[in-house]
Amino acid sequence: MKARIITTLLSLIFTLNLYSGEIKIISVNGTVLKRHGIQENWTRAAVGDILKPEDSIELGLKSSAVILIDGSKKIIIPENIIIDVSDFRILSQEEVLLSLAMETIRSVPDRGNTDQPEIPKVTTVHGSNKEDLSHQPKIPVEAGYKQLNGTRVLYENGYLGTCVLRTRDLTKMFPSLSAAIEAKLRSADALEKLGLKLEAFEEYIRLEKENLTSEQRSFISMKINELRNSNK
Amino acid sequence: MDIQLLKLFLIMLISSSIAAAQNLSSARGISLAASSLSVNDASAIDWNPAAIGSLHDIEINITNSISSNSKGFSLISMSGVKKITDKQAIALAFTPGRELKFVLPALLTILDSAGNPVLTKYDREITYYQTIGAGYSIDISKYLSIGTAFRIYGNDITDLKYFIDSTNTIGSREEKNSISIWSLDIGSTLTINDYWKVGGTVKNLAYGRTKNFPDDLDDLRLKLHRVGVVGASFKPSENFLTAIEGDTEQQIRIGLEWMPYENFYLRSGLYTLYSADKPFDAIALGAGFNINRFAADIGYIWFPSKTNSGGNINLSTFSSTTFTNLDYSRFTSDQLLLTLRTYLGSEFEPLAIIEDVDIKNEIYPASSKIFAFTPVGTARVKNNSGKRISAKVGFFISEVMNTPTESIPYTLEPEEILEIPFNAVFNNKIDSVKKLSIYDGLVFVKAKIAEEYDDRYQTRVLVRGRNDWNGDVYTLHYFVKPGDNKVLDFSRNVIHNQKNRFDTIPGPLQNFEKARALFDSLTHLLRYINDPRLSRDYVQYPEETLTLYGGDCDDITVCYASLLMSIGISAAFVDVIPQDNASEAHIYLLFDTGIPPQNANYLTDNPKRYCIRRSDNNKETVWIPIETTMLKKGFMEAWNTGAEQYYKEAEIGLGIVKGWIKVVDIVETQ
Repeated sequence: MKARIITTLLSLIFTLNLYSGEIKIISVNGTVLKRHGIQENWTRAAVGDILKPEDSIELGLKSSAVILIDGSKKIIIPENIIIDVSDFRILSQEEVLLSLAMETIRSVPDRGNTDQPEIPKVTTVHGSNKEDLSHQPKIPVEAGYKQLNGTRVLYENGYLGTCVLRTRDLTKMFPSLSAAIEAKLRSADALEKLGLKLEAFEEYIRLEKENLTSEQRSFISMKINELRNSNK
Repeated sequence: MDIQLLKLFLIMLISSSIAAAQNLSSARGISLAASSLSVNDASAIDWNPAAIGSLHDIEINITNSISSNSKGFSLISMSGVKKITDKQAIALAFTPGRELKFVLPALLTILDSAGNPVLTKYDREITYYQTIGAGYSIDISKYLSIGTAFRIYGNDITDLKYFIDSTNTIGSREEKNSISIWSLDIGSTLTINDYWKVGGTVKNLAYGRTKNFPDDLDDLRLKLHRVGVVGASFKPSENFLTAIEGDTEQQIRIGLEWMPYENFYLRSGLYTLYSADKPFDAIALGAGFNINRFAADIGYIWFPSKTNSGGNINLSTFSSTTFTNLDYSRFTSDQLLLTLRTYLGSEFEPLAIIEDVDIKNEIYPASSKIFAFTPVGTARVKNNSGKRISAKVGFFISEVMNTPTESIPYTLEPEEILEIPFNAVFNNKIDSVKKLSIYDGLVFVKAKIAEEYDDRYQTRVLVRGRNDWNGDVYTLHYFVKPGDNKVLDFSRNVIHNQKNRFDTIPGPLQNFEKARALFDSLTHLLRYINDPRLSRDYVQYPEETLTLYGGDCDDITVCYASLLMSIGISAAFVDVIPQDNASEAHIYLLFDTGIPPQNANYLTDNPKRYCIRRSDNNKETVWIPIETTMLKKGFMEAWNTGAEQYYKEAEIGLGIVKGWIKVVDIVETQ
């Protein structure tokens, strides 16, 4: 327990290093909520509230808020948005690249040596495997839209790295949202602006297989050709 | 008194009782008959000098014999071999018993003053003997060897000379005439493959003498002649050998050697003259055995015809007799030979030697099976020969391994040094090591053509106790035992006791709810106990944690992971080693709910409470972090704390990207 507490404190110190500046709400209009850390419930935010890195804020329809970062940078958050405060940080190109790479690396079980014998897992099944999801919660489309909208704020305010990573996570959680295409296009552009042209190229290639409008398709084709030529 | 020296008798007699002393230099050689290509002792100097190089570094060979014409055993020869390089060898032979002695009786008739003959007997002694022999061989290639042997013989003739002095008195004096004779042999052997060998020798290729006898004695001189021998040997297995050879003397020899028991040999040989009427000239039988560096052979040769060896021969036959050597001739009689052999030098020049051994890892019983695939150490092996070799390194610890392991073969060029890794396959006894112990490990290298280890290296290997852990999260999963009976009993009881509840839970949430039920059951059963030792040194197996009703962070994490996996839920360790304070490292758990990311809201609306991971089948699912130290506060608190930690450390702190957090999937092992 002691070790855990110390480690948590140390982690907090690391976190504070990343967020050396203060994030403060300086204006609210309409419904502006905040949620701390891993809590499930949202509470109303007010002017003067100091936001922590592990906090999130949510804005309803016809709502807006202004936050002040480091006492100098103002960011206007428009309506219908959920955004994590921790995403208001600049990630280096390397950190973005590693985060994208680690998604694959950390997901592959490290077996140390592929020659090791693999023993089938002992699996027991109890009861009926019910697939009836009628009483289960529906996919929260609204929350998905709001969070994808949040990536736009990140993009427009220069938080390109967190925009890319957040978009990646959200499009996994809400793949059916039509807004996901827009978010992915934004993410691809953010990658390009970060100098990660190969990753941007790959993102456009993946997007090409999606259900696109004719405008989106021609735009993506153009970007693919452009990046292919620049990568030669 | 008229004195007249009369002629010698025309017939001379050979006194067998004095003269028969035929010598043979090897009991094995004589009993195998065809030994030019199968000789394996220092008598190679006599059989085929090219074979000298195939012997041990320093080898000494002593042969005694007893025959029907001798009294007791007498020393025939002593010979020795020394390798001067790995390709060259020399041999020397001292042959005190290699001697043939003949007596020529004669009568001298003296007429007295009355003219009456007075008979006086006198004997001439003729001795042939070999003083010394020397040999040299060189390996031209891996398969071809050549050699030469040089011998010096002595030839003495003792005669009684009569004379009349100034007072007309007849006197006599013994007069000894001696000459030296030399001869040179050459030989070769060609190894065709592991079974066949061919070769040949030319005996007395060149020979000569230092001076001549007086004319009246020249007919009695040792006369050598040149002989060619060719042969082949065939060794189809380790315990059987057959050989055949023929020479320009029209003799064919066939031999067999059989090893019915280890290091014990039986031999037989047949000598036949293909121009003779008799079916064979001689037959031989023999036996031998080896003990370490010593060998003893016994052989008996029997001649059906005793015509010449029995004793008498007429002068004309004797004068026309020429010799190949003094061992085997028309005068050779039945005899029993005993040969003792030993070698003093190194058994053979090792093809490969071990210069150093590095044991890379201590051995933790829990993760000992990893060494079947991961090297336990390396041996620095040097090619000690002038040839390219293929070397394997073996490793063995007698009590905790059933058989030695052997590495794959590595090719080494001459003089090349290579670090060869070796593995270890431990048996179940390793799990009974309760505390830190030291074992003797044997590391050996085996080169391609060597039958024995070329080198061996005794080293110490540290074997940890069964609960010891090296702190590496990648090996922690060896403590996870989902198939353990106690684990299975516990998880099945928990699931069975809540069967009715699980029947109402939708399929996608089954994993999550079962994981919660298992954790909450542990909450009631276990107590979190601080490890009195350093927590990263000692880990309990899950059955120990369940039996002892408690454990520390690592123990409970391992136990919970075992329980999850026992019902088919995948899990992963999250190993956190803070950058600035490694001593505060800790471990918690992630488990797979099996819920796809788009359904994560079944569990929570807050994405900070989980992470999304991709499984083996490329399917992404929601994984829940669990801090097992929150055991007493229940599943939800353990989830809260785990999620909080994971979000701060992995997501905000980028711990995974920066490398101070490792997420290691648990792979079940035996």
